[in-house]
Amino acid sequence: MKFRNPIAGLLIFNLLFSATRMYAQSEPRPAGVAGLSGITKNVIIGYAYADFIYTPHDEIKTNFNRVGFSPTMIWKLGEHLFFESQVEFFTDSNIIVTQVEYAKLSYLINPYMTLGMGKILTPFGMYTERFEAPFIERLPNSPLGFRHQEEAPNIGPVGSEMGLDIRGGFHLGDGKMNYVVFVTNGPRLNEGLVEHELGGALDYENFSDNNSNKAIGGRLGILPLSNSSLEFGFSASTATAGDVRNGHKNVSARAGAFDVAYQSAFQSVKSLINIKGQINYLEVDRSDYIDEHGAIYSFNNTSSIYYIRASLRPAFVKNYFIRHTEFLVRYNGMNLAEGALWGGKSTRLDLGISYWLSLRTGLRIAYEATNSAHHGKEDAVLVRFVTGF
Amino acid sequence: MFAFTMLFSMHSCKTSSMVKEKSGAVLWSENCSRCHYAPDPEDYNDAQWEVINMHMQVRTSLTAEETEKITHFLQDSN
Repeated sequence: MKFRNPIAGLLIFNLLFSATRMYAQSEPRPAGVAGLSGITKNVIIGYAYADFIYTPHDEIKTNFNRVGFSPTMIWKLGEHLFFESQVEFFTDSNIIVTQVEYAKLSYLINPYMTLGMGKILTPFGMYTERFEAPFIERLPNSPLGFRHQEEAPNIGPVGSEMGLDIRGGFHLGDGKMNYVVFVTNGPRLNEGLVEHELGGALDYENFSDNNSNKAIGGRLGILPLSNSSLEFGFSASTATAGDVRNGHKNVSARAGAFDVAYQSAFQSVKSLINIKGQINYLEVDRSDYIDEHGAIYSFNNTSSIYYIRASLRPAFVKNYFIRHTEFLVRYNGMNLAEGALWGGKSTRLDLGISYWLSLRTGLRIAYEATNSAHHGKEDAVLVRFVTGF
Repeated sequence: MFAFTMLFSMHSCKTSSMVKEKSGAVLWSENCSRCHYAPDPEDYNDAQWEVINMHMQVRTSLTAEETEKITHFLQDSN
């Protein structure tokens, strides 16, 4: 960061330094707790789930199709140092997948700024970081396009990446704001040389970069109400996606997102109402690709994905069964680049019920009706038994 | 210039007195159900709540003051 005005630069440095010094000096050593003394403390949390699917129009109509277990280890290594890591084990197409979803070391520089580095859940929009975990997502599936999938186009960063972020939150009058800035390896352009059907698609989960340019992005979140019931955020990122070693080296990508989350209790209907939504937009520079017949083609590489979800839980009625039941509806859309072999428009409507056996354990049932660009109309019934611990 | 404005705002914008006076219980009810339903305070011991709330501060950018108040509330309630 260059400072044209050295006085402004000195002021910024002084503010940052004094905030850090005051934070360090104000932290008292925590009182000892019998049997639990010491600074280092750790907990294992996480979630587990089991899925069943009914697809009435397929040859194989019923399937217990997935089991997942994700322990998350969180360590407080000191008053300013924190480590977190989540490992995922899940079944997929007759194999067991094991992966590190994230592993991040964070240093709380001052009350307004935390630096983290590692394999991080990319802080783009809200869904990936805060709502994607199965015990938090109240339907038995993720919104269309919002869960990272291999060998499928990613519309914006929807999983985890290698990189670092700087984040914090602060009050502004009655409301709050939070911010995060991130630097990561960024997306990798699929040139379509091997997977012809994916020419021009981006994959964001890259353990190593394919160029020296790093993705830079961030999100600004605003909570305008004093009770923090409403948050909306704006995200953006830019990166070079092409491999520096071939003809696509100058292909860059720009992504943006808008997200919103609202929840409140409405005594008039004796219910909790929860609304969430996000839209991701991606623009990739135009380039040439080769299809499976050897023909060269190009297209306007812009895509978007979005969802809006509303839920109602009659949490204040007398009936025990009804007050533990949540009713959900979600509309999803994917508008993938016209002209791409993976392009086209798809929509999906999800109607679901989540029965809460406890605050973190639920039985979720949903009917999903998909109108897919490549597979036409499909429907299914999904069941998920999930717990967070 | 944007960075200077952001940092200046952090230092000089006053939190309203209504927000400043909020108890840990109120902050817990407002913030800890925004994504998931908040677990019962008795689900974890004091040391575990320290770790979990640091995790939440990092993940959701809760302010340091909010995190401290919520932690004390949960430790007093378990």
